[in-house]
Amino acid sequence: MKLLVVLGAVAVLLAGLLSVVDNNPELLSSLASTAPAAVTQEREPQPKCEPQPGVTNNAQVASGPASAPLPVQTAVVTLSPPPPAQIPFNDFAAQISADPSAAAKFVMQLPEGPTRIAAAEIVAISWASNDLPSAIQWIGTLPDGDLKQTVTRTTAYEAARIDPLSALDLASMLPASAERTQLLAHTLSQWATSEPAAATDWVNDLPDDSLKQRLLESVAVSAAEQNPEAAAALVASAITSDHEQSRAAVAVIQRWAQTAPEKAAQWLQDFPEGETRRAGTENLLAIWKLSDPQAATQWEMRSSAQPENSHS
Amino acid sequence: MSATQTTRLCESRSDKPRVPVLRPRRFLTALQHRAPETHDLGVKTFRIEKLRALLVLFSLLLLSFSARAQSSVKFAWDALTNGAPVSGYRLYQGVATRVYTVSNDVGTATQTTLSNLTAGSKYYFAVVAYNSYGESPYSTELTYTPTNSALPPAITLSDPPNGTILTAPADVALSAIVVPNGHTISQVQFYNGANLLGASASAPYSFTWSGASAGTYSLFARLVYDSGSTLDSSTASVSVVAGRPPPPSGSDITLNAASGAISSPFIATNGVVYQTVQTGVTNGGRAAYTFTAPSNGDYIVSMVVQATDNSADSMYVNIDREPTDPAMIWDIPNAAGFTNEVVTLRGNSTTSVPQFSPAVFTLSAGTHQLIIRGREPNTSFQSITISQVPSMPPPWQNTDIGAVALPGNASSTNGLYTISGSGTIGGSSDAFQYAYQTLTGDGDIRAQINSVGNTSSNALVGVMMRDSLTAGSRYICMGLTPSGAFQCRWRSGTGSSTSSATDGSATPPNAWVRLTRSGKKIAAYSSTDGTNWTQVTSQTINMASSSYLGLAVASGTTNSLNSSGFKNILAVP
Repeated sequence: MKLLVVLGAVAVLLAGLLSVVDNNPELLSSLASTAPAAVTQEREPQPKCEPQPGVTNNAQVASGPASAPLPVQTAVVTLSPPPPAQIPFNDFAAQISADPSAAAKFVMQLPEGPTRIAAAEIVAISWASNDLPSAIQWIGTLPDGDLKQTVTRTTAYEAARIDPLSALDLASMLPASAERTQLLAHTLSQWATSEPAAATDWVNDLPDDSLKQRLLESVAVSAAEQNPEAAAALVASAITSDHEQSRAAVAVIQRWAQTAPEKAAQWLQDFPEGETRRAGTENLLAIWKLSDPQAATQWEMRSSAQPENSHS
Repeated sequence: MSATQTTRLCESRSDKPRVPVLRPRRFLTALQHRAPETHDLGVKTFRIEKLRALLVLFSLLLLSFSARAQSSVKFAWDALTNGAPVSGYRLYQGVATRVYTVSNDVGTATQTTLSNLTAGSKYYFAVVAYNSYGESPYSTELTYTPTNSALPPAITLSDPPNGTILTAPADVALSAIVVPNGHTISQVQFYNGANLLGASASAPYSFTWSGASAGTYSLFARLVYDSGSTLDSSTASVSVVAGRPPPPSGSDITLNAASGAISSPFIATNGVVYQTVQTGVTNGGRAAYTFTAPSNGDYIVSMVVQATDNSADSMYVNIDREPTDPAMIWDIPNAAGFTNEVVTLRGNSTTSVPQFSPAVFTLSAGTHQLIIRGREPNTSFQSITISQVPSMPPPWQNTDIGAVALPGNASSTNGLYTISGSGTIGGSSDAFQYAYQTLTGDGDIRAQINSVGNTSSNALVGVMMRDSLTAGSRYICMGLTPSGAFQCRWRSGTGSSTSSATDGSATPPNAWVRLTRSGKKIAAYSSTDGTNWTQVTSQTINMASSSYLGLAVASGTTNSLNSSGFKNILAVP
């Protein structure tokens, strides 16, 4: 029985690979040179299907009245409908979730190359979202290389939404790169929405000051959602890099403006003249005017009437 | 507390009660109430007398005003024992030191009780002896403030006012006004909630709380009086907001052309570098300059150059790597003298179709090397400036999502945001240029589409909310196609396929698009006036609590950049 499941998974995996490369000409050309012949013979580059207003060509609804408009104002379509042999990603993912271990073993039997990496990525997404510990165990069995890094990164992104600490552990396994920085920032951003102090501590332990600045920006912005004052303190005291500090400061203003615009305005007035102050003022007024246009306008008039930084 | 007290007048140099100091000298012939240091009867005494008259009047007013809060006190002193004849004693009282307004002749008794004293007022007393020759000088002075337990003291936190906002690190000045009402004031304590900040033992009661960090504080003053009784003032709420960020440091880096490592055939003369021969990239003059980028970001290079020959005005420029031919050729516009020109790499274009946008170098903070190689003769450069590109105002960032064949870019000028991107938004992974901010929790983004580049019918220009910055991320994008159709595309699961909904049309700039997120529900809207919105679709997409919102431009092809414009952007992240 298990064998049947695995064979079924293999079948849908092959179909799923076609879905992966559907919009990726580079993958298609790579596929021609590395993937099993059965796959390359099935697949020809398909012209993109342009969406037509009011017309459905979604595979799931294609078996109904052909090309009939849906009885609603807007029609649901897929931009790149798969050929009949393809199985939509969601079904494929469901098959992988039935036995991800078998799917992973199959992936590793594929020839090395971008196709195998793309297939592994699909398995990682599905496995991590359903059984993160097992997905992480799988990473431990993978040989070093591009595939392992891709799977690690993909798994970390999925882990970020449910277990940021595991995601950080995974990210720490990756070599330093812009992609890793982005992953760390994304993960810390999730963590900081619930535990900003812990996220800050984690960042502060990093030895790379440049990386630390970039990550503190993410932490501060997320923390501002719940506690703009504390986030403002973090921005003012811990972030010293101009760009990170400037972006974080305006992001804090944006969030503060939604809950306590007067306090945001007070903080903003102490900014030195420059881009950050200008951007902060624009964002503050735009958001403040949504909730209390009169107060915002009054502050704007008072602010423009005062010389710079003249408040006490 | 008893209204009657006994107080002894003493000389300050003795612990033991003694008689007032009555020198055996000639008494004055006239009764004069004067301070010891004002023996003359000149202008000074006259002024004192005037003041005294005023004080008498004032005292009367006070007595009549607070007759209910009266108190009495008993005074006693030692009899004079130096042998001088004493007819009696007078006890003088006043409300200022050595300015006595009331005389109480007590005869030969050495004690008396005064009443009609106002509780809470401070009185000054001195005693003199008198005989037929006059009075002795004053005794040492005693002060006394009668109490009245019928009225409690009062305390008011006068500073800071309720609702004060200060900037961290803040020095919060606290002060309190105390009305003793005759009670003995021990001290005033200043509190932040349950935490004692400091205390003041004497008026004016004040304390400065230094270095208060950001936060909201409940401040009050506590009066400690009599035998440890306490009374609290009302509470003032004070907000200390975080301090301002330090001003940005200067980001321009200016290099003298002759300051680098100059190799032949480059010649450095009087601060100008040039070569006299035509060369290729490998045998041209080489000038290398080490500089430090202050922060991560995009940088452009400009040079003060002289280029007078249209057929021979070019050099090679690169950062951290040797320039290559022809990608790193920089064609310099003709100029009669030295002018400041921004490096615009020729790239894959030809001299007749130059790439006029500046060459942008993405650098990390730290040390880098600018390398210039000579190409054509007599193209001279004098100084070099490396500037960080103010690409998008904070908090915007921009990046290419996915594998794009042509790098995109984003810039903002006077409220017009120009985004250029290649690739396609759709399928199971995307490729496009994304100008974005962090979205935490619910959010709203709306923008007017000012122009749409016509690169492909599959191009899309609009606003986007996105789970992550990876190619297969969940997202929803409400945009406009080059044909003017409003279209929303979305991906509900990571790496899954894209769906879309199309509804209505518009012609830029009369085209607005909007996305709102409330929990997992994201609604997409279109508008032709920016005021009246039509919902195109509403989708349930389980994005992370911290995700992204921004502007997306995809050309719909791999071999072209779509340059489109946005304005009137409102992001509520």
